[in-house]
Amino acid sequence: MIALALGIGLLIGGGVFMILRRGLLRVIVGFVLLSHGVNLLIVSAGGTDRRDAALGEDLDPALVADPLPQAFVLTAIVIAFAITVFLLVLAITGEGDDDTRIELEGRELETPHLIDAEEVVVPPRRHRDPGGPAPTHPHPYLDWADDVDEIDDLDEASDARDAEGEAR
Amino acid sequence: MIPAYALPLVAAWPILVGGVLIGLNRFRRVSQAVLVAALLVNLAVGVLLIATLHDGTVLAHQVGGWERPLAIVFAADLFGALMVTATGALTLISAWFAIVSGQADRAYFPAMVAILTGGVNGALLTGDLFNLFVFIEVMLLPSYALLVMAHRGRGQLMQVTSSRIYVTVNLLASTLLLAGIGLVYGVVGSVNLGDLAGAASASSEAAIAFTVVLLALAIKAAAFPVHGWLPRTYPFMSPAVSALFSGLHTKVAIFALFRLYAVVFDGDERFLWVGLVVFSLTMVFGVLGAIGENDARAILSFHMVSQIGYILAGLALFTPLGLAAGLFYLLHHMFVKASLFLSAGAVELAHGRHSLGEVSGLARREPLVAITFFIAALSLAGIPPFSGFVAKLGLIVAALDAGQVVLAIVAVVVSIFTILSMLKIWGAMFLGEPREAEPDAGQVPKRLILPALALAGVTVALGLGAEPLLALCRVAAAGLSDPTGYVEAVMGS
Repeated sequence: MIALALGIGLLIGGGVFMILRRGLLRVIVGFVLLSHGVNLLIVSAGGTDRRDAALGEDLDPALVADPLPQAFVLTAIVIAFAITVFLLVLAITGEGDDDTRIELEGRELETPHLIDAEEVVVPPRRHRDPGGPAPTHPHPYLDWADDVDEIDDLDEASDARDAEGEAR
Repeated sequence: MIPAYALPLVAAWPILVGGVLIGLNRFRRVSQAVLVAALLVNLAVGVLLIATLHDGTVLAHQVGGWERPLAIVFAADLFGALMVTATGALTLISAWFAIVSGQADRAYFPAMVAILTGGVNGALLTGDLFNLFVFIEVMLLPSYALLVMAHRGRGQLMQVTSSRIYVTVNLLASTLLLAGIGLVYGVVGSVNLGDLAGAASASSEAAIAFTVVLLALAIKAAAFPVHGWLPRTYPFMSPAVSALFSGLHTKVAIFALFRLYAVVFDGDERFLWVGLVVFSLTMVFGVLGAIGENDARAILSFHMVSQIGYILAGLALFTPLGLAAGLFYLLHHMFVKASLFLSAGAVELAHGRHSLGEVSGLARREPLVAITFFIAALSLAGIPPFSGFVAKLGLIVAALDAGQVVLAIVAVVVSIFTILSMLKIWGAMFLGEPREAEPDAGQVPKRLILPALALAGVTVALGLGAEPLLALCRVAAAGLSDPTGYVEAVMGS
């Protein structure tokens, strides 16, 4: 029981720490940890001392594990999985970086969401060499969106920015 | 008349339609027509539900013919039926705006709206706490997709940032909701609302577990002090999507707060002061935020926070009068706020500008837009003869009746500030001389303003003929202040 409580605490603590990071990828890892912690919490809500499988007939309620929290967790895992995949897509759309930092150049006191995108200086991206063969398609995982034209435009824009950064 | 066994279908069939619409994605016009037809049927189902339940009866169905406690319960009372109808009407009008503004041409838009409708109906009709979580997620997943489709031409940065805020905040609230449900199951041993009836007022452990659930719902409803995500995300969605979300997402959370506090806490008077304090502060901080903003839809988003305080104040009073006023306010607010979002959005789409001071003199150039906005703004502020007046008056009378003078004073003062911030939009956008510097000052096409005008018409109708809806709200409020009928139906007795 103690081990379970400690495990839940560690997972949720780590999850909260990661959610407070800046980059979306770290936030996603935080949510994965958090949902694992909550899943453990639900399993422990069903009691941990009864472990027998809830299969067959003539079951002894004192020995058989509670199947309902297991069903809850199964549902929760599927939902968390779907949203994690969605967040990963969100992390690579828009700017080429998963960082949400923007440089405001002395305008930090203004409400950030009222500042127009054009006024914001996006810090030049660090050049990253992913290694491996060059991709055959700019965003194969975004094909479903029917927005490939727009995404291509975006890619060109960010490529141009990259080239600029390198030139400097 | 709707039979009880059809309740799960009310939630399931829009999702099936969504599946068909995904297949029809290539045929834009066909899928839009199917969506509109489905939303019309959905609205008709809501009206039929009201007709079935208007006398306060409760329908319940144990899914799959299982016996209690194995079955998952669907249950509908008049409150749920009213919400199904109102959300259905709002989805229909938002979809109409999306179609005329071209937003619905984006891939999979109709399918996502259909699935969203199914999730909303399920969340409104479920009688099971865990199922509530599942349906809220069913509602949120297509919303995330709609959010990414939403463009506002304001630059990629804020759009992506705001959708990140929206998704992460909602995900955090959902995780908290799930943790709360786990705790509830650990303490009480059931997630069926019938079994949970009165649990939180009977045991303090259960009350703590339910507080986690209520906190998660308060985040989703954007109550102070966990409201900060809403004004940072709603102004950056496309107009159709912000109208849709304003009517559905926070309102489903408010619905769940009303339902859970009534059933599980049994309207426990010991905790009502928390609600009175928190929701009064929600009113005040929302309207102060609105005064400080400089953008039509940002002002409207902050107003939403303030109005959510009004709605939930009805819950915090927990008298039959207060609950009825809260329910009427909830329904009125859904239509008025969507109307304002749509008319501000129509101006934005036609003129391509959003900040106050960049468009001016619209009242002379475009009287139809001005009238639409004017009606909805006055209704929001609570001026007679519109529905906002009835709603606010009902709430203030209920507060005085319950002896909560401070709440009544706050409600009056906040509505004065509401007028003030509405005047800010009105003065900057509609009054004044049209800018000569706008050579291509276009007109807002009639088709864009008609959806907002239809909603403004609803608020006039609800204001002049408030009595039938008020009577329904009283019946629904009676079902909340004495939930025995609902609990018995859920328990299947």
